[in-house]
Amino acid sequence: MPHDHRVFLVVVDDSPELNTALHFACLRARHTGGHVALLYVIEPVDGQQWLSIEHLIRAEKREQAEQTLQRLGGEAIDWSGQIPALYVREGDRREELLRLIEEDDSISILVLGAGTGSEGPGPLVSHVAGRVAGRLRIPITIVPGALTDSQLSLLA
Amino acid sequence: MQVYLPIAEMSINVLVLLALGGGVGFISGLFGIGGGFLMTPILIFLGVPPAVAVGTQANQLVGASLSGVLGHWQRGGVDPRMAGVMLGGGVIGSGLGVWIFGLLQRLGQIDTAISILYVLVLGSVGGLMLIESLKAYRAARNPSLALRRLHQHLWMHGLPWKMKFPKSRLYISVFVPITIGFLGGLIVAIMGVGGGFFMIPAMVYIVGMPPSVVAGTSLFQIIFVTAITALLQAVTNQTVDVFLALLLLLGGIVGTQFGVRFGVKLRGEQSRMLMALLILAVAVKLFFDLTLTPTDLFSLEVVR
Repeated sequence: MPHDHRVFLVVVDDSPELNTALHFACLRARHTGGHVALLYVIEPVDGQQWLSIEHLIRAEKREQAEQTLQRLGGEAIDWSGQIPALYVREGDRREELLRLIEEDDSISILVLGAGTGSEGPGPLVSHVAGRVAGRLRIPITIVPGALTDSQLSLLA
Repeated sequence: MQVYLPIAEMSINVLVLLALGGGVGFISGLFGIGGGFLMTPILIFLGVPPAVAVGTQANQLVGASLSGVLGHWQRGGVDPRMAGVMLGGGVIGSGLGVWIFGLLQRLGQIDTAISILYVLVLGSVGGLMLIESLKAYRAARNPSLALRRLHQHLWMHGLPWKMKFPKSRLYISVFVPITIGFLGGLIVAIMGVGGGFFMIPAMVYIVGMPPSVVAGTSLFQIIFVTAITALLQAVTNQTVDVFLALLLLLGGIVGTQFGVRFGVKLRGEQSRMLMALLILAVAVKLFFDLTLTPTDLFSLEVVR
């Protein structure tokens, strides 16, 4: 991957603010001639007594991951005009995110959506923007989940 | 630190029981199993009467499955409607199982019956697990094995009383889950195991549920089946030793947490093979205890 354009990494989860973060990242990519990357982290499969059941669960989760990425990837193409890069990993979401940032130096900015509820911005934002922010290789952009599409298009 | 168990009518070292609970709990956490089919035979080896071991085990399983289900529930890995339907069969199975248990007890045959059942079940489960892990060892990760088509429509799905299970994305006759729940309840009552070893494959391959909700759903209904069974066993057959259950549970809670935490690192073909061998070893030991000439040829017992 050439380093002459920016890659905006968005972490997929089932939160409502994912949509805001993705939309912002896409518009940003379009305006700066970059593209979007999506990371989906599959939860590790619990221990199962029967190996074949464990394989089936893993296959089902993989299929879910692919379907979700297919759908979000389509939206990313609509918004950014570019084909996004897709990453699928298995393990702990935070650990895999940090590992991916370390391993893949084409990624230049991490875009996270912050939750609007009273529980705070969400575990990933708290962790990445809090404890490990100083040790990251790349800057982070945090998008408030409450921003509307028109606000986003003005800001991005 | 000896302690007297009132129902088992024997004294035993507290530390042994705590360590046993912890060790079995660790293995259960590692492989996501109830651990009943290791715990019950080991209790028998320690000298706990088989009837008491089985009755008490139902009690301990309530705690184990309750702590196991929480994570699944949070992740949406439980189909409550399916669990409820299975529970209907489970209650009937448990009631019948407790009755059979009491009948065998009155005939003075319960201890032998439990041992024979365990030899059969552990022998086949351990054997199948060993074959499975040997295959995996040789194929060294062949993911294409996993990608077979799920939810074939079987004839039994079309039986009357069809019901929608949105969470499992199924529209099938309630007789299928009820039958599986019934067999599960029977196994809980007679063997003191949760029955996940057969229920989980049955729910995947026969009911056709999505694999990711199977473990949570089976655990969820096992909580209620084991609770009812423990109550029935205590009232009907007087074979529940609460003190024993409590000590095992204490060790079990700690052990399970460790098992779950180290699960990802320790799990693999080798450790799975070791567990299969462990199960087979228990079956062999039980088999020899059944067939060898006993040290005291006659045993006197009051037949109730």
